[in-house]
Amino acid sequence: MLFSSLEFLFLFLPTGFMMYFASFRVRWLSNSVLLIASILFYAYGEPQYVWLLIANIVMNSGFSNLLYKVQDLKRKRIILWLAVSVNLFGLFVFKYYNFASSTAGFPQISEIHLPIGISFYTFQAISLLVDMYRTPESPPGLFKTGLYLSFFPQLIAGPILKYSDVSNQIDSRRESFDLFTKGLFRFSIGFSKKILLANNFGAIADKVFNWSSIGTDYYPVPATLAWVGSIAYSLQIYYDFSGYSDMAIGLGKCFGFLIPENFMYPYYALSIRDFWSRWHISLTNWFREYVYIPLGGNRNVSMDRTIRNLLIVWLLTGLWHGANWTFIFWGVYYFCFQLLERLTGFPDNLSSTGLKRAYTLLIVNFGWVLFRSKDLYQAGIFFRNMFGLNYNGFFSNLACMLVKENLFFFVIGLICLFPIRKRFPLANEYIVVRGLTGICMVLITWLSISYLVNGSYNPFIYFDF
Amino acid sequence: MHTVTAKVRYVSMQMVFSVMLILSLLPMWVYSCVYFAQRIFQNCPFRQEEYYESLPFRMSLLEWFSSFQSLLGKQEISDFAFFKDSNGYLHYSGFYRNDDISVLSFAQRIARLQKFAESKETKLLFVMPPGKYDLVKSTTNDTEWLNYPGDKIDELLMYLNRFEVKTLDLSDMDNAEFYKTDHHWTVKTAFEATKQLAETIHKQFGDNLDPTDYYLNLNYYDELSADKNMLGSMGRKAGRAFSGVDEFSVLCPKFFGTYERMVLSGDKEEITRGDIKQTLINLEYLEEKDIYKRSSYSVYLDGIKEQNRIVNLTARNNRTALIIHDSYFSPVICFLAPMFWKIDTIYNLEVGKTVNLETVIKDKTYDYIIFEVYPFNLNENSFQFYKEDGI
Repeated sequence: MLFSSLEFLFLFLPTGFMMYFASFRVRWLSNSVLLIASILFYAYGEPQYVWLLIANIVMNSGFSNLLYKVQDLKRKRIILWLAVSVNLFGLFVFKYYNFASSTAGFPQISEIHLPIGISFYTFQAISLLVDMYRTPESPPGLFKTGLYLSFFPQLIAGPILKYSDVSNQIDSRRESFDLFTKGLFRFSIGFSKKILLANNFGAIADKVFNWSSIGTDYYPVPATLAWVGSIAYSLQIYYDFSGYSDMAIGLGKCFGFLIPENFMYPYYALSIRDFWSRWHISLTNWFREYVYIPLGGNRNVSMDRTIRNLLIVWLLTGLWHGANWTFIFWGVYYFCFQLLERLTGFPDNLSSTGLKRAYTLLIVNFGWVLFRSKDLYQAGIFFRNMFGLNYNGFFSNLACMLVKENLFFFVIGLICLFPIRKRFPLANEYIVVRGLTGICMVLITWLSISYLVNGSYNPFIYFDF
Repeated sequence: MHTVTAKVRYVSMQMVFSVMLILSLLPMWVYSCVYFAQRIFQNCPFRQEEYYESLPFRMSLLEWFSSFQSLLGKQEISDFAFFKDSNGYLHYSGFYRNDDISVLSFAQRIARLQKFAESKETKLLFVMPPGKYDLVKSTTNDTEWLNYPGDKIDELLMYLNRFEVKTLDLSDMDNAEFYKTDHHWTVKTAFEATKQLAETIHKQFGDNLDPTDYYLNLNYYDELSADKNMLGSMGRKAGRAFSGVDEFSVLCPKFFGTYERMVLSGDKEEITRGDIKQTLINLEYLEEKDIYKRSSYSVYLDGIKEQNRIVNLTARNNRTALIIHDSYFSPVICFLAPMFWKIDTIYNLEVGKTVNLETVIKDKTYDYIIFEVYPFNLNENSFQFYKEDGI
């Protein structure tokens, strides 16, 4: 089930709230409601793979128990390696097997379908196991493991929760009306971002990328059109992903959970390193904590080691996003820029913040072209289209028309990339302003619902994740 | 005083929002609970589209969406499903065409059909009606939005000419009028097209369908201003606020005639007998109060039926025709009915799916086979017959 569906909004969510708040004074009962709701949520969208999720819960609960019971460090380490390997094996089979076998020339498994959210819950499972290995506290048990791994607000699109971040919250958290209303408000912001902004940008981006893949002889994509397409995709992926994160954080608040932020105005960053400290923060943190630091991180005597560690992290980051060479190259692309920034001090040594931001946006935009393309060949074609190197011309009426048609969304989308709320600190001081903002947000939410009712374009871009 | 201020301040925008949102979602929640409970108890599979279409206030939400698109001054709606030209006419938008269609192959199939027809002394006429596109071409510069297959039509007509198939090209018909909210031509334009069709049959085959200028004389028709708020098929999807409305008039003959109509749909056979309003022109469609459900164009021949057999019981000739058509031709068939003794019709998009044209015509003899295809239906689905040269 998707957050951006009417059955979720009109049935699942209100029923879930009712059941939850009827039981929230008894913690084990309210957690049971959440667990059942989460399993149902997953089963609705992936009925054939709900057993995989349940098996994953049972297996990881067993492994965490084992990690707690075994005292010998050497045996504990073997169990950890075994548990992590089994988790990664599942991920490999469903996500990477066909890619690896086609690359190696082996036969592929036909019609293998990637279970939604498998990358997210596998990483959470690894977090649980490593945290259990590192800090031997009492094991979470089947029930708590289940809720941690399947918690529906963040099950299919993150943020990736570290076990240490939510362990205490599962046992003891404080729900309040104030927190609930803040959560619902945040959910609606995410929902509107997804429906009104991301989907409109997505419609443009998908068209331009599809046209580009048709081929210049058949349908040339002039440079201006290619740029509009790439910018539209940059906006789509941000509003889609951050919208889902807002919805997850908002829903978490409604149930009393404080889920860490996942996006902090990434397109406002001053460098690529800065960008990655603002984009998909939970993934960056996960890799830092469970891969980069255990490999030695920055504290290596040799620079070579640090570079190797960086390369491993970025290769894995690329691979995590999907089983395709485009994702691997996308990871390597960011590795190169991060390395360049470390070695040269660029763009920190630039005096103009405008130039720093322009550089970052440009690099990120090119990165998204690589990320969005079906394969490296198509990415190459798209880059050539962007620079008019494909006998494709420069000016496009269609590009102007696409921008004109979506001017309102482009303006809103571009404004909201920046932390404008901080510029109006007094707006919340007046009750009239607060009341009107609340009413406007209800109207915006219903406007978003009207888009869904009308069957507007509503892609789900995390199928590959 | 401070406590009161603090309490007032405590009413945050999130609270205002949450209370209003929850209250407004309540009816939808109640409806959804009942809907899903019914589905479960009746053991019916859930279909998202059906659920969305059955939602309460759906049309209000559609209009809200539609008003917002208008407010933004947009020309396209629903991810470029439709495009509104500067005169307010809706069109299907599209940016490129699948040029894999083999126009030569289509022409060859029609030529084979003609060859078979000739073996039974049947005359074949191919009719290409006008597309709404020409209207756009003359009024706006936004032709990039459309994927009108103009060059393919020209190519097809050229091949047909080469194969000596008689054609009636209405694509450059003067004063063709269309509905703003629908892709069809207006009933009056369909009537004009019927006149041109009769003229062509006269010129090409020497058969004057209306020698007394009676059946094709507008003076002998009542023009009923039937629907002043018509939403065509595009308007029903785009919403009234975006598309506007059309005025729909019905042309109904004043002269007497008795018909027997047999509708074949799958295995079902339905026979009606009576005057033209009881058989071919069904004004009951206009009684539907809900403009989003009212399909005014279906007044003629009930819209689309797989196969019809229309027998004119008061005919003064024994002229017969097989008309292979799409929805454009529904009014034309009604206007032709008084001039024929028997007309069989086949909906061309069903040919190959539920109807085997070759079997249908094998044992029958017609005076005419009239093949009509709407420009946007110029694809493989409309030509599912005589794929191989086996005649």
